[in-house]
Amino acid sequence: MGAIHVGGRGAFTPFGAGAAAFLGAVRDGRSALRPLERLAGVDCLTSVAAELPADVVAEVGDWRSLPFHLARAAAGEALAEAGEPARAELGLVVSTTKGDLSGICGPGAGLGSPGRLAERLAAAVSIEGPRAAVSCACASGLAAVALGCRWILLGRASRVLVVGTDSLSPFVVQGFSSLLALDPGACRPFDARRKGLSLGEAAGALLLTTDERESLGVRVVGWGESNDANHITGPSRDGEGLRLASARALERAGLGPEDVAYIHLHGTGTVYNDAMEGNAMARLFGGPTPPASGTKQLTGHTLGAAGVLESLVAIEALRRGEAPGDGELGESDVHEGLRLLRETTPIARGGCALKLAAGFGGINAVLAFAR
Amino acid sequence: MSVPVHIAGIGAVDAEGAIGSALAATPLPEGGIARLRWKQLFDSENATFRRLDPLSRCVSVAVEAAGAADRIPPERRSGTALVMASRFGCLHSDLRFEESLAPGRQVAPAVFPYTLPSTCLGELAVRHGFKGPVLCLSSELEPDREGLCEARALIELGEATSAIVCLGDYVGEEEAGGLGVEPVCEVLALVLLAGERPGDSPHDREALLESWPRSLDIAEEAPPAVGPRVRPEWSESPPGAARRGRTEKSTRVGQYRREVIERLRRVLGAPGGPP
Repeated sequence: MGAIHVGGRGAFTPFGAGAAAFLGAVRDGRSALRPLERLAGVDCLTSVAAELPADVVAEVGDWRSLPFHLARAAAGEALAEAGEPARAELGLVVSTTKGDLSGICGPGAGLGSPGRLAERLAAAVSIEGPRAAVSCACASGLAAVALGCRWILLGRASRVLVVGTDSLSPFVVQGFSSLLALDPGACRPFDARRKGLSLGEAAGALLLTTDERESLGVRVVGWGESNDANHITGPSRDGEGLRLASARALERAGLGPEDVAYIHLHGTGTVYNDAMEGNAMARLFGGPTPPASGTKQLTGHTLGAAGVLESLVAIEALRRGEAPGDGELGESDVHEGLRLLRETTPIARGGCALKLAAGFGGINAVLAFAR
Repeated sequence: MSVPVHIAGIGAVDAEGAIGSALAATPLPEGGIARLRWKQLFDSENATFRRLDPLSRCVSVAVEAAGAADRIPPERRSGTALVMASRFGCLHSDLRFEESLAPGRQVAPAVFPYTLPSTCLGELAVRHGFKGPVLCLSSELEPDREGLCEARALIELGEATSAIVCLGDYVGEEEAGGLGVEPVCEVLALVLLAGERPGDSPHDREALLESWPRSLDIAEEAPPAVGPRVRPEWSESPPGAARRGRTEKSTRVGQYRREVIERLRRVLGAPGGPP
């Protein structure tokens, strides 16, 4: 079994269509968080989210269909970048939390079923290979990439398209609001003044391939998952679960902590998540960590899309040899060993990048990428 | 892949009752899973059972009925994967939360996490200390096969030394018609362990039924899905078409789990029947 390469990327975010628009905004440190527009009348504890522009939603016609339309756009872009691989043996893994909520919220047939969304997407992009839908809360995206890698290792597919997608709705916004998880304003991950997360909507796509000729120069070299076995909605305080998932990812990659050049954090902006990540990385590295940053202060938390979308940032960091920082980050109160970036910073050539995620149910997932 | 995997325990819940390797066939009380008290089935404590949504209740009961805690000792639970595969998860929780958002109603924060079927697995992890990979799958076509395949893959690839696979859905009678789906209260839980099945082999169907469910070779169960598959009827419908008032005809979805539960009852006895 050869390496698993990244052969295509796609995104549809509030910054516009395309991975380039998204990655450019991340490089520039532009945030899509803005006053609520479509969701302005929703009774919730925030006035801010990274909503898609109204004209995009109007074009789709119904917000309930957004996850599908976003996913189709991101998938199409990734397939195009990969040179339109044959669909007959192409696998598809869709990552989402609730997918299309039509039928639950108003008329329609989505029923919040990720599997139903995956079948619809497979039909739209003519994928005929194995397909699956993963719903592992906010760790869905990384769990989906891990699943795609397993399919490749087991020979079920030689190429797998992984698409993460989710949209905002009163259902989602009021859900997080009811848990007192939302920052009233724009989220400030890792900042001592942080008050919670901000939500966003987007889709991201990655095409995994075994063919080195199709590679964009970055490989998925490891993945690891774990459960905190601690709490349903809150992370463990000590970060042991995320440390364990990170250690498993590095072990699969045949690497050690000393090989890590960059960490793309989950960084939701909740007090407990950010502290947990700091503790987890301090445990993993046993001292100062490699450069680390997150991007939810720019995109909001895009839930089922987050893992795939943010993997694009980690991949881009390896390709460019530099990682984005958070220019708005104030004083931080998380573990002092976590080396948070405040500006774009060169990273060690030849090292790997870790992408972290954690979600409800105590789920932790980590991917390791390398050039 | 060469790592053998076998089924070491099996448990189930449906509208008829609960049954498993570690539980004699027992009918559910009137009112179904929502009315069930843990002590009616098990001689153990479960302080959180009362607050669980119906699907999580089914999962908890099925896993306990499978004897998972006995078959996976505490020192092996760091490597225990949890896999859930369903078609819709718990539509009851989805609707209950959505209804709580109506003007004048109190938003139900305790229900929101259960709108994600992966929460069932978190409940299991907290109760038993399972710290391995977690995978929650949703499939319109073959959730049972996908759940078993992926759990087996986790063991075969060395990412877990054991796995608990839960296959099921919960859609209550009261909401099913309005959603255009059939009501279902059904979870099958299987405990998978790495290693050869203890005792007999080669695989023999009659011997299997005799020994079942104490040990079962997984080799014939759920072959991996490869190649094109049949698209569901609904996918031909216009996106977003209103479906309220229509009920989908029963499909192959969930057929495996229903067959296994029937086999379980044949082997272990129906509720009220001989053990």
